[in-house]
Amino acid sequence: MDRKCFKKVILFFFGFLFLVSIQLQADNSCYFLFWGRRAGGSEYPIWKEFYKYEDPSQDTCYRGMPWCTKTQHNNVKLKHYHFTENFTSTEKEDMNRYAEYHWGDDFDSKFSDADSTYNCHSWALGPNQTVWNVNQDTTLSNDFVEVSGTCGDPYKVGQYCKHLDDHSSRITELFFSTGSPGSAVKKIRSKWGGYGIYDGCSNPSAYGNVVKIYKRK
Amino acid sequence: MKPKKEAEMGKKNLKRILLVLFLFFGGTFFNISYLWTEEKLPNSIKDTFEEIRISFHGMWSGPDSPSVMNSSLKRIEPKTQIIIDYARTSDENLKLCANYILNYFDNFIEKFQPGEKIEEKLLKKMKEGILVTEAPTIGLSIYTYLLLELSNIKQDTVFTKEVLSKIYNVCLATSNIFEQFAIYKNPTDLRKKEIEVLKEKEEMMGTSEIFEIAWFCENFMAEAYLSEKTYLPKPAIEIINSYWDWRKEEMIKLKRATCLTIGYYSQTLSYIKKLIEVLPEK
Repeated sequence: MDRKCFKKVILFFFGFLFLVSIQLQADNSCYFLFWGRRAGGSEYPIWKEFYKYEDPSQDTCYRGMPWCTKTQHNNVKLKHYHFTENFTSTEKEDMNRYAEYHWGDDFDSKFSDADSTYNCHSWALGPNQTVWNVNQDTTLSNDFVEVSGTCGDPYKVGQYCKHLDDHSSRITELFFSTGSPGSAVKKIRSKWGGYGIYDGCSNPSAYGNVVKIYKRK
Repeated sequence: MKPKKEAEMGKKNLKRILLVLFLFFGGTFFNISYLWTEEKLPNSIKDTFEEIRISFHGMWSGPDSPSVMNSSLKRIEPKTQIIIDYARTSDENLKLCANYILNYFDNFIEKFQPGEKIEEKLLKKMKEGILVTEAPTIGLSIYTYLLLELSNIKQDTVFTKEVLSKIYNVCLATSNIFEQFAIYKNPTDLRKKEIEVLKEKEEMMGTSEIFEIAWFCENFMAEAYLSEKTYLPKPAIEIINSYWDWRKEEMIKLKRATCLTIGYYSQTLSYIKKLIEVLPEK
């Protein structure tokens, strides 16, 4: 093979690789709107990019990587989102202020700052704390069992709560170790979507009361 | 004789002048008062519209919790109720409210529709922190909610067609903003390729604003599906029924029956497009 021909082959090969890599990575990005509140009281929108992976029949997810979020039992693929941008320090501060202003009554204290990389389900239930788990029911049915709240199977601090409206949290304090979930749990710790992790009451206004309690399998 | 004739002529002219003046001022006054009652929305209602626009925060917590929308709606309900109550009092008031939103949507569509280049100044502000009052997409979803509520009150197929068409075009324009925003934030070949692929598939870019609009559109279709009596024509009802057949299947697959996940915004809006096609023009 002469030099010219060799060059052409190499060029073609890398060109092909480049095109394949672009095709592999061509995925639809989305923007999610969060809210910040400045010290002066004005509120402003904050858009952050994410990619959604909602088709478990696919083998790969973000940037062509193997599907990264599966249940620990049975390896069931979970729908999830990858946020590619985190908040700046100012945005974090303003988001903390926003949460405090709007849902301060639901919180006792802040456990950690706003963070776009994971949400309430992935913080409380896992299995991957670098993405948003958006498959609460599948996660619970595969990796957790429901606690009955009886003397034989009482509720305990550290167990996991499912709330009325798509929210997961961990119990930090109990009224009673038996009875109905809603009246047994006193305090929970949870991550509020892209906002921070807060300790607070068991029935936050936006997410509703505790409806079921789980323990890990 | 001559001065008498001149005096009579003067009197007649004076009468004529007075008549012209009366007609001119009377007409002007009538026109002003007519315009005032016909086209003017009370300032308090206008202010409420603006308050609603900037204070509705939709699915604030994250894209996995559209049910948070319910709590956001509840929070703003005292204000949205003012508009709905006002619109219910007369056809004219309903028209004024609908026109307020339709005009707002028209301006938005004209400025940002596909093919329009988005000003770099705006994209820069969106990246670095824009005032809520200046952010063009803020309020689109709650205005969609109000418009669909007005459409349910009016129960007129031609009006519903207009409303749904405007909502669909608002989504296209919103997608155009965020396609250019994505490239502005990350001007790589990869990002440009992604946007090209999106356009080839004739899909819209997913943004909170569009997810929320799709959620309201789904609620609109749910209401039509569940109501025993509807003003919508048979072809529209058939589309709505087929949407719910598809949704039920999806919900069974997901083992959840509560809410829409953002994965479905494209399909929901594609059904809205089908509805627009079957609703009558006039």
